[in-house]
Amino acid sequence: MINIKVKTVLLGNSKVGKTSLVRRFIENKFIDSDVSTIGGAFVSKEVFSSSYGEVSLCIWDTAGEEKYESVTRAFYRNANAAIVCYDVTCAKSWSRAKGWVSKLRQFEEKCVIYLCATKLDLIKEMSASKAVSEDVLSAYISSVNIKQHFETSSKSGENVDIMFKTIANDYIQLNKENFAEYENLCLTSNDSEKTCCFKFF
Amino acid sequence: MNTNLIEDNKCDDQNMETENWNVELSGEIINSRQYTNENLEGEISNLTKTLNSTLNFVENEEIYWQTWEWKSKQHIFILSSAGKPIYSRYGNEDDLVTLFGVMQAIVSVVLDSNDELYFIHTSNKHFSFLRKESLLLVSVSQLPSNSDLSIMRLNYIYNQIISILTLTQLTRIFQQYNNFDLRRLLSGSERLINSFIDFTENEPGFFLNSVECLPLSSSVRDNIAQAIISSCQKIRNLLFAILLAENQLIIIIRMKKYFLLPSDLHLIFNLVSSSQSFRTAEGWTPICLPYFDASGYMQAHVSYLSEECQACLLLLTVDRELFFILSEAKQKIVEKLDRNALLQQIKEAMKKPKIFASEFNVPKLRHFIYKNKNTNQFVFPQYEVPYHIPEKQNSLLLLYCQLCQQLNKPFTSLKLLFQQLKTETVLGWDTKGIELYLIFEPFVTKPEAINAVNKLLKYIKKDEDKLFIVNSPTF
Ligand SMILES: Nc1nc2c(ncn2[C@@H]2O[C@H](COP(=O)(O)OP(=O)(O)OP(=O)(O)O)[C@@H](O)[C@H]2O)c(=O)[nH]1
Ligand SMILES: [Mg+2]
Repeated sequence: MINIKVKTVLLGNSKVGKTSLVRRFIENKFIDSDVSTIGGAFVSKEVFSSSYGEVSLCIWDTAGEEKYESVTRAFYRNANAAIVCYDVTCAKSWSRAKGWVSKLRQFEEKCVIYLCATKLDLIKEMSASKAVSEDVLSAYISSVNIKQHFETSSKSGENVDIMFKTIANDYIQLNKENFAEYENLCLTSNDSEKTCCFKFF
Repeated sequence: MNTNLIEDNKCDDQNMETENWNVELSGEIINSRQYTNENLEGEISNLTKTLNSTLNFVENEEIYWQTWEWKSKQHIFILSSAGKPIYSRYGNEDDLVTLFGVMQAIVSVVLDSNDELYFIHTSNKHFSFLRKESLLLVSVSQLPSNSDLSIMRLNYIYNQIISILTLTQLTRIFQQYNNFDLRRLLSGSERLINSFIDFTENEPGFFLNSVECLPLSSSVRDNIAQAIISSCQKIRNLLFAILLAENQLIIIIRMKKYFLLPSDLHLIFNLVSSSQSFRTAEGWTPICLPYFDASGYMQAHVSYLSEECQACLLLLTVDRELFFILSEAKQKIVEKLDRNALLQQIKEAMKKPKIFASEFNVPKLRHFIYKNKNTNQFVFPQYEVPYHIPEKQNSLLLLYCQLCQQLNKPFTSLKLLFQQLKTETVLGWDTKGIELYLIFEPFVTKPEAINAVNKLLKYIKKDEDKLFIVNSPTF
């Protein structure tokens, strides 16, 4: 069995709710806090065990503030997956999200990109309107190779767990062959516990 | 600084408002009549009036002043040298453009005549100004506030901004774009500035220029240090390891030749206490410590020891690539602490209430501060009756602050201070390596007070190695 670690990075404008997503996923809590992330924050969580071994997500929650933009590169370098977030009610955060996507496409070809609309509860409960229409969204998604688009709410918890689990699962599906090969190697070298380090740092 | 003048001001006819004003230039007080340059005098006088009326205008608008506890708090403004709004403690800076404009004007008028403006005292408002290379910081209070303290506070706030941006970045930005809107870069950090201002108002560590330690037996503290040192031994470029229990220091381990000053530590305390997210995730945070090195960032690995033991560990380095190495080191530290039951010890120490002045059984003693001047550490007992309500705590702090400043006034050799005030009797004593401040009931004689000092000193000396961090371990 091997420990599979999926390096996942969260990107997006300040205040779109990246930290809240992580807290919902890790602690299953929503805390309304107006403290911006400074630099980056790292957390890892086991998501499930696959036939190859335990799968955990290693998540970098980055700071969306402009002043940290120059250090963000370090956080998404070699990421297996990226969750690019935008606030479902905020057009500005959407255009910034597109900026992140093109940056990732430029520097991290292998990174699987997910789009995440946050604060869905605002639409449902406060009857706010969506900043991006369905048409624009689907046209964009098909044009830039986005793996999947999620609509989440950290407040209600809707779709948060599903999103992270999907990411882990996609990673396994994509790298099945590598794992199988690796397992064989391990069997022959008689090592029972090994950490899988494909593409991870 | 001339405190008399400030007090005189209080007695002024309230209606005269801006007619009576004093300006302190280069630390000297000059009132309207004394100032020789008549043009400048007229200009300052007019601007002061405008300043006051602009403030009053906003006040009358009641945009935000309802929430402003004028009495105990100061209003703080930050603007760029060009007069652009950057920060306002209360209200929205955008509503205050005129006010900022006047502030900038008044400072530059004085500057143009090769002088420096520090204070303006009008009959009902007191302004302090701190001009830095690219920024102007202003505080306003309604009560005649302590001017030195106001300037010290403004300096602290300036340091917080440096800590967020570094001096290099701040200078470069304004060199390139004189008109830059700094709020773009400070957005999201207002919370840090707010809480740091609160810190300067509520924490004695600010005016004592010291830190408080978590009481621990010295052997336990040494073992904690050992656990950290041995886990970090081979890590290059690790400058400091700091373990905090909320606002109390547990231990600090440093690289040889490097030190941290209390005011830099206060910035670290502030960072930790205003960011809850470190409790869930390991932070990898750039931070500039102005006294240590204002020009660049250090990188801090910030994490809590464990769910049960909520002490916060910071590992400070200059190497941006060190995260996973430090993360691993942290794991090792926690394992070692756990194995030696030190996690448990820390947890218990954190649960224990702070010491009470009453537990020393010194007659008539209500409260005290003991500061070790060599290590810049202090003991501040839990507030108890009659200081159990916030209002009283506030005035107690102010009292301590005044005592502290009187004893530490430059060019004086005041060593012992004994004052019988309306509601308490106070004693301040500056002696070999120690500053002591005692607060008694109103009627206490000098011999009684001296007696109390001796008794207290004896107790504290006995527990010294528990109350304070005596060693300064290095990697
Ligand atoms: N209603 C609602 N508010 C949310 C949700 N998620 C986050 N918020 C709020 O949005 C604000 C910003 O959330 P954060 O998670 O701190 O945003 P961030 O993306 O981490 O911001 P930076 O760290 O500055 O990059 C906070 O006030 C949250 O309470 C959500 O699902 N619903
Ligand atoms: Mg965040």
